[in-house]
Amino acid sequence: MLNTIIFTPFIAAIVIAIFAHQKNGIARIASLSICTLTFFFILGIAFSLSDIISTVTVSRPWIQSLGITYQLALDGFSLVMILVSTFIAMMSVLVAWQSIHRWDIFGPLLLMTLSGLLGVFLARDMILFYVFWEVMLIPLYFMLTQWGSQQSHHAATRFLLYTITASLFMLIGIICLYIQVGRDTGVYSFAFTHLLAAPLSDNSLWIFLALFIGFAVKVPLFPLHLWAPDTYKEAHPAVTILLSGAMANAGVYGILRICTFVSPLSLTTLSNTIMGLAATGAIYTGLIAYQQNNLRSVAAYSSISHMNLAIMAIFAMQLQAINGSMLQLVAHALSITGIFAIIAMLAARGFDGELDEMGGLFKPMPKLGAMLLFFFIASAGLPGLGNFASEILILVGSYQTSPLWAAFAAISIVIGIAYFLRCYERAMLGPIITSSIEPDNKTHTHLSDLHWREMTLLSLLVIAILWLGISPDTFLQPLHNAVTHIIEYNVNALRGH
Amino acid sequence: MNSLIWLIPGAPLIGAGFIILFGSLISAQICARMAALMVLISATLVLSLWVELLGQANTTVPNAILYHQALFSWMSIGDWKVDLSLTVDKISLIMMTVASSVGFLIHLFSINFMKDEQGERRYFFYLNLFIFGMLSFVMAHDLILLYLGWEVMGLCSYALVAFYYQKSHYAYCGRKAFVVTRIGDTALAIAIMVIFANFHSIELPQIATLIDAQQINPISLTLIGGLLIIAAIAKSAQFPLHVWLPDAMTGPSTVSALIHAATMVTAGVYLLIRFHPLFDQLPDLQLIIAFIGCLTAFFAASAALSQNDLKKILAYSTISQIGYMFAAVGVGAYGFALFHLIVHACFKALLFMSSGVIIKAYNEEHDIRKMGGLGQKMPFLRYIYLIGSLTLAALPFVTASYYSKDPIIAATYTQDFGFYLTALALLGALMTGLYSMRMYLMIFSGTPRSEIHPYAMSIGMKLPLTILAFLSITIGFIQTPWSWGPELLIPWLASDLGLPHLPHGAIDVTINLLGIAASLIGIGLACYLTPKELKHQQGLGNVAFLNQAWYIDALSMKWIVTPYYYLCSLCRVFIEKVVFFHVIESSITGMLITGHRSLSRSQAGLITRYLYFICFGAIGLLAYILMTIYPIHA
Repeated sequence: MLNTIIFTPFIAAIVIAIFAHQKNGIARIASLSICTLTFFFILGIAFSLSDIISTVTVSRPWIQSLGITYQLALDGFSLVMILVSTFIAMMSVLVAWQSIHRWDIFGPLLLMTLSGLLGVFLARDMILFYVFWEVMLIPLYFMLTQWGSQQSHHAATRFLLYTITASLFMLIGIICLYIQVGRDTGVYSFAFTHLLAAPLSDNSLWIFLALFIGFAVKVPLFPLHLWAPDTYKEAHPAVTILLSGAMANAGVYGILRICTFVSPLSLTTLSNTIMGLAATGAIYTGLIAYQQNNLRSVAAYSSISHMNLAIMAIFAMQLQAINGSMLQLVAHALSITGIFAIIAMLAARGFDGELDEMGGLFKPMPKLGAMLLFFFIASAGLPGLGNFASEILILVGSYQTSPLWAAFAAISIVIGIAYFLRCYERAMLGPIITSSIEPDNKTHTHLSDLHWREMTLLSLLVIAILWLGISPDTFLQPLHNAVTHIIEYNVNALRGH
Repeated sequence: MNSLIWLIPGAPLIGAGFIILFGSLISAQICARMAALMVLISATLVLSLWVELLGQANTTVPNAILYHQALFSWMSIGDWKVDLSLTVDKISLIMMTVASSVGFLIHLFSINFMKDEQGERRYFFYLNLFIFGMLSFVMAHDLILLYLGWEVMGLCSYALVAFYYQKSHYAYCGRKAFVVTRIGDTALAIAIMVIFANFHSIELPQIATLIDAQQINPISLTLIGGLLIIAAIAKSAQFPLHVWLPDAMTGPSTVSALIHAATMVTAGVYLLIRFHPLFDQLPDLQLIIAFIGCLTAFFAASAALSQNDLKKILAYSTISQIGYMFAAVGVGAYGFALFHLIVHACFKALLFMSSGVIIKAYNEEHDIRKMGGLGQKMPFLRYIYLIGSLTLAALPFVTASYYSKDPIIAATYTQDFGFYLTALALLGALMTGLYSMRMYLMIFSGTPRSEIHPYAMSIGMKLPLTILAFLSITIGFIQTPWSWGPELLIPWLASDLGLPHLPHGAIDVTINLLGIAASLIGIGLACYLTPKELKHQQGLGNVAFLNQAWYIDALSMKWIVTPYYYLCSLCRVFIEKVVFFHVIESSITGMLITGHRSLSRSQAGLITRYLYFICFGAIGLLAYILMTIYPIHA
């Protein structure tokens, strides 16, 4: 079953690439239907697994001489993550629907990324995890370079360099971990159950740091975020959705799934530093977002700001905080997808996000304006919507560990609303900028309000955000075991120390 | 009855939801009527709670929860259990009554007032959502629902203040309102964090019980109290976070009525009253609240003296009147704070809604110096407005404000530094009389100074005004200071809020007389000064220091907003661009490039050098292999 989940998109990608060559329409529909199919398949699993504790696993030997196995498993945390990832991929296809003209290439690349992502969330062997990690990244690089603004090559190169360096750190971390655990126990194996069963005896801080940096670049944690703002801005919004909505989640997932088990002692030692770094990052990027003159940059920096909160919560190593961190992945993915989806819709109407060229757009496009306000205030953490549920957990939980940093991070509540409203005001309110009304040659029809496909897309996101905000328990229930496991493991390890 | 509690905040929410989902299918007027109907349902339910309650004799149990309805479990993680539920006790019942009844009257008035405005559906959507926010705020059983209502009001205030969004300045004012009040929201969020860390509960009754048990360390309590005060002053527009309110006048006048009377700005007062067990234990914080309150009452009244924009006068008057409520909270006279809140809601809603009509009659003119002579053209409005202005001025014995405000002034004397507090409050009262009558006289008396377009008010607009005018006079008599008069409110609230300390004997009489004098002198001064000002074109309206409200707004721009902007620039330009990109990233790439160059230089095509490399490499490798096979044992 897990193989089906991972390889349906993978095989579909190959099939589309081969058989739908030059057939844009077919490739597009095929991509969407594969994503939708996978989504409903996972949804079906979510509903049928009444007892989440019973995990579904696949385990086969792979390269036995090195102790590498082909292991997949599904638990509540993975389930939520693959569900969100597939949903985001589906949204990404819909966002890209009309602006991409080479679906026979774009579709397979997107499906390949999705397949890698699903693999990352399901893999239970370090090497397998790493393989899927790279499978998910490489198609993204091509999507970045092929579909984006003129400057996207530069951004893509920076993205690639950061990513490869981070992967290198991760690989070194994995190998050192493998050797260290092998020395400790006498058994050499890459399986999670083996590597992450007990805290390391030696060299733990360095291995922890190597792995942590590998993941933190993806999130991206301040100050490793330098690749993100430009990449998010220059990429096609559909790709940015994948990057910020799904890829960043993989980074946090890695920290939660792997780093927290490697060395509880290092985690505690670094706790204050990283919490401070993440809280500073959340504020710092919020301040920068206030001065951006491009809607895309505002969204990019806000995304970084929110993901930093998720990292802060992990290092609080506290029940509510970890729950909040996992929930933040879902909430952030949904709201940032909404914002970038609207950016794509504005792009289809001839606005590339420059705030100076917009203004007063609420008047011709009230639905779009209302939707943008919704996603902005959802991102800014208005109660009743998704992000609030996660952020209040993060803040309340982190406060128990570090009152200083939690209170400091709470300032992002006011900073968030400041940059979002400034951006909204410049884009949507005020008098209509004449240049936006009279484009060079086209008629006024480009300022039409949302049509049904866009409306459906955004409504799905709105429903998801409302659902998450009103009933976060539906998402928190499946996460329960994973969180308890992390907390108990860390508490016991420290007690034993 | 108990099972229908959810419908009280629920009905406006349903209305809002309906408008946003199906509003485009039906006419805007039907949306408007339905919105009003939804609030009417809430108001009727609240009134029926009163009826049911007054039928019961047993209402003296301390902190009795009169009604309670569980909604659903929102979250449950460890000891963080959030089971959303609604609670009605005496304090919240009063607030619910004000919010729903006055809210309904404003809706009713709006149906005609906002007719054919662009964005009518949007207006009623936010109006309904606003009432939902306030009702869920006051009925919240736990801090999460309370925070929800609190924030929803912030959002609605933004959307409604920026209702005419096509003017850049209006959009800016809306943003200012949201951002400044969000400073308070942040404080409230941090307060929730501290409360949970200390109490392990976020349910309000349990927090109150734990505070009474006095087991929490006083530093945490002080921290919580301080954060709550910041939250309250931001939401209730108290000094120095009042700057958003005078600018929040850009929405329709009915919105101002809603923000000032039924919802929003009274939320801060309610928050402090809700946490009164906490403040009862922290006399220092109480003194701070009292001082903020009296100072604001004085400051805002002085600023109102010199305003020429009709709505700005009313805005500063709200700040000033809320200041009196804060003063009451600060001296432990919680009952009187609530009493004044009720009275203020009545006359302020009245004044704002009428001012909307006045401004329409003068063709969107806001400057009262250009008005005048409206009394002959619109006599009904004149009498209504006179009642409102006199109640604002607290005309002794007749108006309700006298019965609610003067005891507060008297009560301030019992606090430490009571003399100064009372002096500030009395001076504020004097100026209140002056500015409110100056406003009235400038609009209604004399000859028209600009063209009047008489505005025909429908019965749907006159009715709410009449009801509010009636209440502005009569509601005071439920709580009179005399032993022979009715005393209904404060003793009824005593089981929850305790009895306020009032001075006795000669001091009481003196302050009371001074209060009467202040009001009368203020009114008298207005009758004397206003004609002079009009005649000489020079007077109160020209005092720049007061007109600019002590330059607080300009100072905050200079010392807070501009530095914030510089801080953002510092991050964006210096740290991000220079330090991170140019110094750190470039130096790393520089190092890599240097390394790469020196490596490639070694590939110079010199066979001899390659041979050396091969030889050394082979020897090294050989040595390594030998050493692993025959390890050296030292």
